[in-house]
Amino acid sequence: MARRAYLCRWMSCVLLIWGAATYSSAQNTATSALVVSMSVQSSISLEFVNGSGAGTQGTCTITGANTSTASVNFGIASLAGDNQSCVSFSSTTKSYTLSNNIYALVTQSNLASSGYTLTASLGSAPPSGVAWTINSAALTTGAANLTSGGSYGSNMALYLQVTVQNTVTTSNLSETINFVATAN
Amino acid sequence: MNLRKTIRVFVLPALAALGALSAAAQNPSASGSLSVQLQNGSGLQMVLYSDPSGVTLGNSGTASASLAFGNVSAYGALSTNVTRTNGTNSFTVSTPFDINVQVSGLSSSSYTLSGELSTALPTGVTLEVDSVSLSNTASTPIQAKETYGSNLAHTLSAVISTSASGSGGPPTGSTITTTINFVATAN
Repeated sequence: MARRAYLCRWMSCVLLIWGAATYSSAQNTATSALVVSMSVQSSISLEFVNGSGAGTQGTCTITGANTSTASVNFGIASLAGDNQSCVSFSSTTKSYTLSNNIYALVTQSNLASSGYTLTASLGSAPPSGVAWTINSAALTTGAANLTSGGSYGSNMALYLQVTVQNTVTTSNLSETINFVATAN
Repeated sequence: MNLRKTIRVFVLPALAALGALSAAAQNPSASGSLSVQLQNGSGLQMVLYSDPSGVTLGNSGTASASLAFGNVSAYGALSTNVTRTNGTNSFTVSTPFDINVQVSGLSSSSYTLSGELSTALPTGVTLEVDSVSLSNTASTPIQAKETYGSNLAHTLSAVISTSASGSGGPPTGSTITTTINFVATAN
């Protein structure tokens, strides 16, 4: 009888300790829940990059490389020449032409598109006697198609030329050329 | 002596009886005692807060909050306080949020933070907290020795494949939702 009572007390003690341990461990954690939501959108990017020959004649180094807002300086030009060595210069008796390679990089994300169409337009109409071209396509304030099968992730060479007739008065001929890449 | 005997035999019992009668004439009373049992247990409490530099949480200051990245893309505009890094085949959008864990009744100086997703994410999307990728199959340790009692910033990131939907990328134009279940465990 005494042995039985002892056993009961011992088991009660064990159960008590076990219960306390369970209680203790259950209270030593905390939880929280964070609901996260998003909507993935397709997107396309166009940026100007410096080609491998940047800085050499025919390929000026652009300012703002790897962004979508870049600039290139064609310098001061006349029939006598251009003061920027990186600009290719040619002339006739009635005009001169400046040429330079620009590179554009178009990338896409989350699109089932194999290529893109690239257009370009002038920000403002040039003075009479001034003509801009890219890859031989004449530029106006309307969109000119440069390619309908551009490859994503590869630098696209844009051969930019401006021809100035000798009838054009001394003036600032700076232009903004707006490019638009559209996924096919 | 006779007088003393007379007092002892007659007067004192009479006074005692009078006292008893007087007590019986007062309002009845009862007495009792209440044993109050209280055990001070140990406990942790975790609360989610908006980080000053992060997306504003829904239900900030509670244990059940929400965080909306909004529209995310590799090149398009993002919501306020969502940042982006572009990789070769993926892009990552991130924002900080805060976790505050309070402790009581424990001689614990730090806690371990772990997290688990409630549901599997679509192909091409993974969620990370502090650069630790989370899954819906097991709770993953995120931080091992976090300090109690202050808002600690954590970075929630979504790593998204740039592949097209069906080609390894996530669906586009639809809302992706999951829940991160955080657990703070006292060390």
